[in-house]
Amino acid sequence: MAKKTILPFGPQHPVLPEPIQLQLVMEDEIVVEAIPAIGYVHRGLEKLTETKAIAENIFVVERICGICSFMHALCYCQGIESLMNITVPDRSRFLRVIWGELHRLHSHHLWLGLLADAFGFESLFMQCWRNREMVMDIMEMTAGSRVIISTNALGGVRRDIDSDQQKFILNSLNKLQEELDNIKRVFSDDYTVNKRLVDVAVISKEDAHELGAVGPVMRASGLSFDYRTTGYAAYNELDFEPIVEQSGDCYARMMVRLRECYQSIDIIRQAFAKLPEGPIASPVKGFPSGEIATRVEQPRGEVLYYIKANGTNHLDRLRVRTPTFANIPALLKMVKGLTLADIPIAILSIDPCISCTER
Amino acid sequence: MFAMVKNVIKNLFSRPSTRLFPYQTREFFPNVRGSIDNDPEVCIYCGACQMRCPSEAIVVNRAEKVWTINPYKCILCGVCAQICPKKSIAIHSEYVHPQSSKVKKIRQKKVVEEAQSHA
Ligand code: SF4
Ligand code: SF4
Repeated sequence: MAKKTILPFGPQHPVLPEPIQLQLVMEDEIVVEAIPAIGYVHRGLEKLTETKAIAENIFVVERICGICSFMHALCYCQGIESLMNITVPDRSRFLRVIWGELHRLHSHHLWLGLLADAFGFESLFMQCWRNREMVMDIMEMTAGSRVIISTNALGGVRRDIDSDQQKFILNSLNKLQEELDNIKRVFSDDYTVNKRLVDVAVISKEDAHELGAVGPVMRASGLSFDYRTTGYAAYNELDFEPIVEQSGDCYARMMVRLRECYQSIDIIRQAFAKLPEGPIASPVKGFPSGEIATRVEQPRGEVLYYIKANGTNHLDRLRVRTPTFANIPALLKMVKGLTLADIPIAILSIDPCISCTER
Repeated sequence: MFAMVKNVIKNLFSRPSTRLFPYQTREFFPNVRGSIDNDPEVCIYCGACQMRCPSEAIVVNRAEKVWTINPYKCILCGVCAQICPKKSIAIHSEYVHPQSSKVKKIRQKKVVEEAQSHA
């Protein structure tokens, strides 16, 4: 038997956008075990939310994750709103769906680019990020900033999307869909891409279920679950199915995200077609009390917020369980038996967002 | 192979896909949140913006009628402009440029002479 060596992977590694360390126990080129070490970017945001006012916390939770900032704010707002029994106007529910799906689109494009970069396909990486720019433009036009858009508020949204903007958005989405068709061909059929992704880091349906994987990682293993199907915001009035792949490898996880891009475009179109007229926010008076757990489907999977309020303008406790945290056990399982060269792709395939995880 | 040749020819004769930056700048969309400014003559120095600013970037001195913002602390959420009773806070699309020191932006009401000597 070969001697075991421990190889630190990270916290600084060219493929990792954010710091996480995996100590890889290697036998020659094969990984037999991985020991994770997180805690490099802990910022204490959960504690900060206890000192800020309830409405100010929206801006704090948005900064938990830059890529899915809107969904964090959405989850928080939905939690507080249901504690206070606020009914959100119909128009703002649809606007929330639209911005949420725009965030999913830009997050998936970012990830597809990073994946292409991880297997050394630089021009594909640039192509993905160029397409992402169209989504960022939409965000800048509708919300006033590109990433942390701050459009959620307790009781509704802060900005409206008028009909000129709708036209611009739908035009951009048509263009984006054409571009997606182009890159989809490369991602799904290219020989080199397939070589790097097919049958790499497989996780079976049973394991994915047992280890509590969420989001695209779970759906790529054949489990059909998407929290959006429970119908929060306006998802109950829109027509879509969770996107599921069966093989559980990196290729399947990539395909789930690629197909979700199409799905998001479709959902945005549906939402615009059904967008009702009316106010965009309802008035909020008083402070919440009681405790609640709320969930939202983010690009990386399901996020869980636990909120404990005490009837004042400050929360007792806010706890966030982010999707990457839930996917780490699955990651540790899937890297076992891989060669060292496949580790970067395996880690990237769960779409790790470490600053989310550590908050 | 043929597709590649086609791409090479296309790229040889097409314009660059990037912007030639210093000569060509990107237009901001209207309503972009780039930086915050206050009109010292309209402001009544009520302090509401200081109270509601989530990042504690604004300091209002009511007695001396001075409104100060630390643009490096401001997260450009736009709450101050939204709640200002006089609507004296404007959001410009121009971003805060990098600087070698963290200069605060100070807006002070022009005061009559006696008040100035008092200050
Ligand atoms: S809220 Fe408006 S009027 Fe009041 S101090 Fe701030 S800028 Fe001046
Ligand atoms: S935009 Fe937000 S962070 Fe900036 S000064 Fe106004 S309230 Fe404060």
